[in-house]
Amino acid sequence: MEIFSAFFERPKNIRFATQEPGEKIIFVLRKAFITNIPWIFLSILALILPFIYMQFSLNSSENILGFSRKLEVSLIVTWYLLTIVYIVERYITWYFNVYIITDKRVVDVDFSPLFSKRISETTYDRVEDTSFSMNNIFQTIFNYGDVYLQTAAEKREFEFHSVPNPSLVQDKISDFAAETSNS
Amino acid sequence: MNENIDILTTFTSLGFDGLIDKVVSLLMLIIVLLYIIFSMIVVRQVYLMSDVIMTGSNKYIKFFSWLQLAFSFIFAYFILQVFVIQ
Repeated sequence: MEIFSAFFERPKNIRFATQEPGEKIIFVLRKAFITNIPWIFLSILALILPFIYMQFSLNSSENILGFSRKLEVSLIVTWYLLTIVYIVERYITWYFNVYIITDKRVVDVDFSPLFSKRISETTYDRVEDTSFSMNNIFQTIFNYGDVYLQTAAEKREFEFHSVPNPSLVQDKISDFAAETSNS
Repeated sequence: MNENIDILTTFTSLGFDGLIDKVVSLLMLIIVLLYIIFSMIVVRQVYLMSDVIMTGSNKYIKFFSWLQLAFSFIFAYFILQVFVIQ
């Protein structure tokens, strides 16, 4: 399922706004899907919690917290709305925060929930150094980590956070940077 | 003058529970209104971002954003029925 994928290698059906004619996309990356597990778990908990409360509340003649039924219903409704808002906001933030690696440059699309977006890019002739890191046991087991690019561009450092296959991504970027500096 | 007395009489006749009910209804209306605004912003954002990065799965995200907006209006109707019109 594409809507849950975080790693696309040479995708056929992906394009981006500033793509030049003939420019080929090598990788499109999002944060590894496993990084979403904490908020998904929290959301499931938030969805279940009112059910547990209602089980106790319906079985007792008096409301547990002493609220009127109307107030009780409105609090539960508000709780669910906030949970939906939280899920939607977290998901679209993950979905639209992408890193694009083409045969000509690297593009970082930063999407802040609801209000802003920022697109940074650098060409390979400006890339000075690349590295990657896998910082904990989860990153090692599930093969995701951070990729760093030092550049001579206005934005000094590009950081790809928690992307899948960081060694492959870093290797490809350094290959392109080496090719560009040799030619 | 008489109208002011009528409003005052209405409020005092509501009692504490009645007043709480009115406040809850008003708060629910505000919350639902904020939710509709949020849903509209999400639709707008999804369309803006879909112009930046075009993927085959964007159509599903657009569909879900519209679905959420539709849900927010249906929900507002439900809230109006339950909490305001009764």
